[in-house]
Amino acid sequence: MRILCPVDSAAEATALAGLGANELYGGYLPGSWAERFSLAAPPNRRTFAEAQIGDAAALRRVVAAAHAGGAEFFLTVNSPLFAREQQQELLALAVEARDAGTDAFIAADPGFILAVRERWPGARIHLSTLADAANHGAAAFWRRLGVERITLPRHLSLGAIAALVAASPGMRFDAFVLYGQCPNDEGQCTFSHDHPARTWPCVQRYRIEPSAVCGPARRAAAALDGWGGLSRADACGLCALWDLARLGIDAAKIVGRGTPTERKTWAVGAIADLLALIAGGIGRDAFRDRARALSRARLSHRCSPYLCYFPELIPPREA
Amino acid sequence: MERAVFVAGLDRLPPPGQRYDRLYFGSEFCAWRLPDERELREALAAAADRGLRFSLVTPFLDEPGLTRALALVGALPQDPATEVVANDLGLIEALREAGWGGTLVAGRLLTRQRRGPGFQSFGDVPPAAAAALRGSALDSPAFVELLGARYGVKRFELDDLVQGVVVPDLPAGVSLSLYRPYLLVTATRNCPWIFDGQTWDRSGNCGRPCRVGSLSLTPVQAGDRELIMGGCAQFLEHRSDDPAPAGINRMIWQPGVPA
Repeated sequence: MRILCPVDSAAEATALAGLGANELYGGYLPGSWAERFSLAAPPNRRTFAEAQIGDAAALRRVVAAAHAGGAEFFLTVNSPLFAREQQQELLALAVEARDAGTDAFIAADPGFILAVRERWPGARIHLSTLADAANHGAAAFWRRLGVERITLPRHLSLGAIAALVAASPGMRFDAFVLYGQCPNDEGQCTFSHDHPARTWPCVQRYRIEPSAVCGPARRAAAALDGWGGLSRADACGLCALWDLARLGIDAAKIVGRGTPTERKTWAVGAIADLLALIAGGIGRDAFRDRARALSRARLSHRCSPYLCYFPELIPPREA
Repeated sequence: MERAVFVAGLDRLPPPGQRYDRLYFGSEFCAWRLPDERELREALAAAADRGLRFSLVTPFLDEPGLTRALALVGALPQDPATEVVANDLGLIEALREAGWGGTLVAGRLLTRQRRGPGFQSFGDVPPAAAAALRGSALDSPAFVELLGARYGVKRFELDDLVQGVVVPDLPAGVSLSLYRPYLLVTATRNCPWIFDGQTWDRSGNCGRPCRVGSLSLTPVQAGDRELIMGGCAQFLEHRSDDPAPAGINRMIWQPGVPA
């Protein structure tokens, strides 16, 4: 299994590749795009400048550093849609990225994918989680468009992933395993993420009132209220790596463009260590114990369904 | 202008005599909220009794959900006026791959508009950005062409965005629908209605507890808009009497959040 990690600078690319990241991904916001569309309508899903490589020269340096370290670089261009006004800038961005040596695009918009494959028939496309491809029909649809890998939606259970993989022979999949779990299904979510304090609508505090006073509604309101004020930054799915590897998932993906380098380096190191345990033949239960211990030693919480990618794996005594 | 009414359950059917032309029935956000075959037959009969054409609304789908949706579509009558509103590209692919020749509509989740509350306060956003925020996936002619030519999809659906909708020029024969007054802002598979006190029960044996009602979400942060959660989806209410944008030839009215 590969390790796919976010990157924001050339120095990070060197460090992360050196620690064992086989693949790096980043976002690019050309100055001309920023001037016309700002971060209100960015070419990727991040609406803060720290998550964007800011010019073509910097992009070339990041790609070169990744390649020098033996890693590939994928450019995230995963806005779920591009308006007509953006199409020309979008093509220019893709040309710059190709010229910089980008190995693949991570994309969600069928129009962009079709345009890239028409202009560069051999271009490699990885489907973003924002496309929400979760069944074999979707895998077949995107394969027709030239997609070689699919980033799994964040909310799929291991059972649903197993069913999807089994029904989609020939397709490759990446799974998120660390940081940045979303309360909502990212592929269906149209919240804007533009609050200056980065308090997104999905985790801001609400007064929640059921329309009907009954047990199920009260329980649902309480469950929903659990997201209020929560930091999702330290979400974790490390203990599922053993199962994901067994299912043939291509890459363990880390969330976190625009976050400090130290968070990324810890993540790559931790996943590399865990993958080494798997390669060494560790059993599933022992692996889960090791992964949970590693997670608890680093992250700010015990296992919690709100901060877990695979809550079905949380031991009952901890949930 | 064709007038449709969208309801999610048999207990919410419009009374006979209301001036609608079509019934939208089903779920956009949860495979477990799809009707079973008995409920589907009853909905079809109710639509026929009221003189309404019928559209089965289907959600985004994981693998077990796709199996369920395919079986349900198989129970629909063979009639070009009876539609499947698909909100998952995988359902479209799987139906056509299986040779299903019925009428397919690209639902509002496939047109990928920016519906969230934050997109309505543009502030200092440049004019080109403001225009882009009114767009949709229909701004890609290649996408419209792909769904039309390969999959026979000739109708695409849109929400009535608070910031306004820009409807692009579309090829001849392509039709557009507009939903009012609820915009589908977000949805989750970590459904609060199936939180068992310890975790989200995603095993698939859902008893549909969300049918009892909805949740209103009033932001504590001043200035933000209230949301309504029905099932595992959150909706934004936007009532407008403005004329539909040019190109719309079907209005879909939601008497309540369709959950």
